[in-house]
Amino acid sequence: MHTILTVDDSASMRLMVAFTLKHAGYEVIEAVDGLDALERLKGRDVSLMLVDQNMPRMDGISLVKELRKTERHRATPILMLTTESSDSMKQQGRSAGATGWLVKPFDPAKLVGIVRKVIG
Amino acid sequence: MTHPPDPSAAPALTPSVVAKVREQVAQANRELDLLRGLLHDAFEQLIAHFMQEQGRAVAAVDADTLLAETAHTMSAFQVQDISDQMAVHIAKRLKLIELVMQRGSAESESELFADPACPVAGKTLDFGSVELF
Repeated sequence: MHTILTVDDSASMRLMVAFTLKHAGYEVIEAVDGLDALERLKGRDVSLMLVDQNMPRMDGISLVKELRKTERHRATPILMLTTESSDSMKQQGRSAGATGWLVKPFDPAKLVGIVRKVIG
Repeated sequence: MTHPPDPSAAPALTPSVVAKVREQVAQANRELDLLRGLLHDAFEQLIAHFMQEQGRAVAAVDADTLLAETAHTMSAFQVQDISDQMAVHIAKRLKLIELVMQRGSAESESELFADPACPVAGKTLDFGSVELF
């Protein structure tokens, strides 16, 4: 079973993402911000990450940059899931190494569709 | 040839104007608290509804049907969440204005440079917008 990490400081957003993905057959683990995500990813692989941008302590793009420095997560798909939708912010995400950009609020069926497409 | 106005040449605010601005900021904070109370109430109602739907999930025929049935609740939940984030952000901005008014314009620039990033950037609800790089 594929494991997906959702990183968001909003508990209700994590609840929505986890509900959607668990019912689509994925195992879901959660982190509350970038630093928490780095902690939870120590010594473990995940199939995909869904990462919010605006979070306390460490934002999403900084997290992507940190993960891309590591051998383990250099190629793990990372989708940004955020209210941010400006072209400049998307470009920053792309340069940092994000795989794609999803704008909140997400549609559950579309989220599952894109996750299936990315994980394969 | 015209030049843009020099901000440093602007007249300082009088104490009575500062007091009025601070009064308005305090009122805006009270109104924002009211809004956040309403948003919290919406959260309570939505979470109760969502938990009911989770309970029904056991009997759902397949994931696609279940997700289609819960899509409206999830959208409402997310809009509530985004609104709450925006309210928190506006409260931070009001706190910043209050700080600037307390300290006066001479010390305000460093505070303004610490402008809090707005968590909501979109002007419309672009449901499910997806872009793969």
